[in-house]
Amino acid sequence: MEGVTRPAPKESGPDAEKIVSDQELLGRCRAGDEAAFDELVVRHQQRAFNVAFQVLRDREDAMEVAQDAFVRIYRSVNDFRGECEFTTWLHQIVVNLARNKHRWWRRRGRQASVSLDATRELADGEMPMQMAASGDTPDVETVKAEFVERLSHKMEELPQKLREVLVLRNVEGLSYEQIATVLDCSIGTVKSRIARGREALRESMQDEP
Amino acid sequence: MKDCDIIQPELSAYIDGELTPAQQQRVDAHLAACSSCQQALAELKTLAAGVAALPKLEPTPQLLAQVRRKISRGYDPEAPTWFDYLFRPFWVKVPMEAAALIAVALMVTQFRQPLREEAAPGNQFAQAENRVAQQPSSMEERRSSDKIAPNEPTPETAAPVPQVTLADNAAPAAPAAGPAAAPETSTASSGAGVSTDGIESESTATPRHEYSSITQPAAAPIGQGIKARLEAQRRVASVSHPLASLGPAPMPSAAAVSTLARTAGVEPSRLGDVVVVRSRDLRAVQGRAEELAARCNGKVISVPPSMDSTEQLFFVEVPREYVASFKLDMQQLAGASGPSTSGTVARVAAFTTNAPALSATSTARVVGVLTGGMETNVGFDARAYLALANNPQAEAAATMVLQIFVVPPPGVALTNTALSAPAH
Repeated sequence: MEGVTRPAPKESGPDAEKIVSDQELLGRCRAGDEAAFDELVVRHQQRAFNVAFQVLRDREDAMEVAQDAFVRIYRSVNDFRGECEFTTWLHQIVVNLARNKHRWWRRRGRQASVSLDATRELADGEMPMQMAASGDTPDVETVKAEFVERLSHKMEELPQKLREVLVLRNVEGLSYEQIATVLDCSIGTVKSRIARGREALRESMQDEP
Repeated sequence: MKDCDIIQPELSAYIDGELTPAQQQRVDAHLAACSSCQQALAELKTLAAGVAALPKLEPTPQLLAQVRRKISRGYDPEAPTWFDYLFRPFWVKVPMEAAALIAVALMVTQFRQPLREEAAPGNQFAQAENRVAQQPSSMEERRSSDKIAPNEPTPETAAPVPQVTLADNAAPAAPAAGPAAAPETSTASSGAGVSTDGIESESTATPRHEYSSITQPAAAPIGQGIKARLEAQRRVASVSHPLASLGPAPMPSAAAVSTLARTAGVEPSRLGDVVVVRSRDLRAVQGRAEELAARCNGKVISVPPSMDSTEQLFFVEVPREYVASFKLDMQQLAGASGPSTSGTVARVAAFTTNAPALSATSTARVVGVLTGGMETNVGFDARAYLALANNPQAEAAATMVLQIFVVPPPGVALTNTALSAPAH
């Protein structure tokens, strides 16, 4: 999944069949190919932004973290030795920057809790990606949407460490091993945090029917 | 413990497919028979799906442009902030900074103490001075002084030297077993032990106004350590310079010294450290200087007698590496010619920044070896000559030309001013 990635949306078309791997783009970046770096940004910007947003629950901060993550990649592309997938490296950087941002908040006494409404207050020209169409009836869709909205609020109340693992697992679909690499911890820790996070969500959802 | 308590923590990994086959079989077997765990599993699956279905946002289209802008202006997303510089990592920097603050506070407290004490007059200052003067300067002296048992009488105390003041021209009686009559080693070995008496006697022999006009701080007890010693050292260097005992003596001006140097064939820019020898016998001093210079491939450079016979100057050129030892030996050998050669005053303490006093029985002795930027506010002001020494050109030379001033006691004329031909 990570080695050869999907082509960027704008390149979808007849030329999209020629898929360039992340590793190849990184090699071209090291050789000074600025266009290859731009391609990497376009290809992974949504991933970086979404992870940052789900962890931070703040659009502005998520945008800043996503930008900074790519700046960091640009500066240290020569130091990346390819021991893990590019996306794992990207996740590492995004999570670390998000943690720094979270600490920055705490030092200034700001709560990391942001209303889900923020997800609806989109800037011009932005559209939320809808849940995958499931073919449910409108009533069922409505119930599902309410459930997800409640769940989103409950996610905000989770400690950041638990929120990180749930986002990486359920939003990004990483394996426990990949999450352990991203967070630089053991697989047992990942397993424990995911179980605790889900259990905390389950309890809080039961408290508020 | 119920099976459910064991199985339910595994359900999260179960739905993610992260259990081993054996664990998975165990969970499957339990689920088949446990409705509450089935319920928990269903809820967890719903939650996982709900998290995966959380709304996803598209980043703004300007993200790439903003990244490019940040790169072009050299932005560093992980540049440490002032907070990071000051406090990160907390467990290292915070304790160190706390320790540094405490240390600074203690230092400020400690060094403000002597300033307050200066207001209180006391007579302990001389004792502190003497303790500093007792510190042996060379390794040889230290070793020698270490050999003297605490209760063992020093050569000086064993053979007391007559108390002679600076103004006294009477020749002191040669001690039966004094350092002056002994070879160099005995002089050196007695140096540390004698110096205390030497300075104390000098203090009493010197007009008291030299000291009494000084506000004297209370001396710190010996056990107080380096602070008291440093303070006393500073006082000795700046206030109670033994050269004060020389009294006003007509000395040549720096310009005259330059002229004399040229006369002797020495460029004034090469002039280096100043050595002041209290003696009325110029020839004896020069003889010792020649002897010492010959040992270190140096030479004495004589100058014509000056117009004023109360002082005389000559130069000694020695390799730079021997300068320190020459000055030290000049002190230690200052009395080697014996009291019979001149019969001038004794008991004038030698002074260097860190050297002990000379044997009190020496007749011609070095009373001051002034080096570097040390200043003195006493009668003999060597700053003018030291100014000559602060010359980069002279410092770069392989040899140094020392300025040897021979100064007789006040009211006494210099004898043997017809210098012998320098020994090369």
